[in-house]
Amino acid sequence: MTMTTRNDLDALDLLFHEVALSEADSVSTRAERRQERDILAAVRAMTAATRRARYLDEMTTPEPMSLGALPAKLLLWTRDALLARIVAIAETNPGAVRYAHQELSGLSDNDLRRLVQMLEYPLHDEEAS
Amino acid sequence: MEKYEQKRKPFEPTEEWLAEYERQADERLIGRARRYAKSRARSIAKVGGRGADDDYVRELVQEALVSTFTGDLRWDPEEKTLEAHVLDVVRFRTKNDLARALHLPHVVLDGERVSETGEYDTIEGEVSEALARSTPQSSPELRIVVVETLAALRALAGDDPRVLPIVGAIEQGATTRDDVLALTDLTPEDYHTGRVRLTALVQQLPDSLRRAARGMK
Repeated sequence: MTMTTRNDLDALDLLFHEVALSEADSVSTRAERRQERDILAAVRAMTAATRRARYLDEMTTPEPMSLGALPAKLLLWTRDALLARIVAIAETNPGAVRYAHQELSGLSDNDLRRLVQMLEYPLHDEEAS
Repeated sequence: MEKYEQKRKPFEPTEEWLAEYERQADERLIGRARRYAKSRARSIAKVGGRGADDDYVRELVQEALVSTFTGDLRWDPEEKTLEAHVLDVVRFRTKNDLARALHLPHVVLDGERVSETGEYDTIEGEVSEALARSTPQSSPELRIVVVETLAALRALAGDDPRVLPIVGAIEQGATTRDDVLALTDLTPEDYHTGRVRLTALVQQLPDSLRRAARGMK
């Protein structure tokens, strides 16, 4: 068989690919796991930024008339109470809301009130007033 | 570059794509990708590539994930897992780094075809076509590195019945796992065992290979 440079590159590539796949199955050391967590944190920050931008876009878009004014009760809630409520909704209804904590830090208290309103009050209209 | 900027469309992932990316880009994936990248970098350093320092390895994994997220490299969740995609990206980037280390023409990976087609392409298509365009027909020096690498592995393997057929198949021109299986009597299980053994042997490759490769001009 006449070997070309491409064949030679591919030969080394295959050899090192198979070896690397085998090593991918191994276990990281504690120091290596720290590096991996750093990468994961960077990736999560990136996706959170995208999520945040999307939320903000939604929040600045004129709200549908059906959403109505903020329920009076929500106006009295502190930021911590609003965040706790969002966490509780996420836990009891995993499919209803998907977010990362970093995303919420970019939202104002009023944004959080609107979020709770959207998530909760359409299901409990009788509690809204 | 101007043409590239003009034709490039902003990548806006769908909600489903974004959710799938977030679900799959977890600690397990990053661990496997980092170990894969570390091994690739270390192996390639044996034949003249740059070292396998932590910064380079981190850059390989993080850039693969970031380029995918920004749409510079296309990932279709229905075609393959994010892990398979990331390993492909790391594989082709390190292959390209090897070509550069050996003074062979290398290719620019990100978005090369976007400027031509206006569409994002798969990593495999982009790299294979670019390499085909840029790689010279023969490089006697690289041939020597490959021959010496395989000879060293053969010597290190002794009479191991699972390693020697793999080395022999690569010497015959196998460039995929399926090629190796077709050229040998190895079962997939034998192949897996041979691969584990090869992993240890590659780490024992002599430094003389690196020096020989570095001497290539």
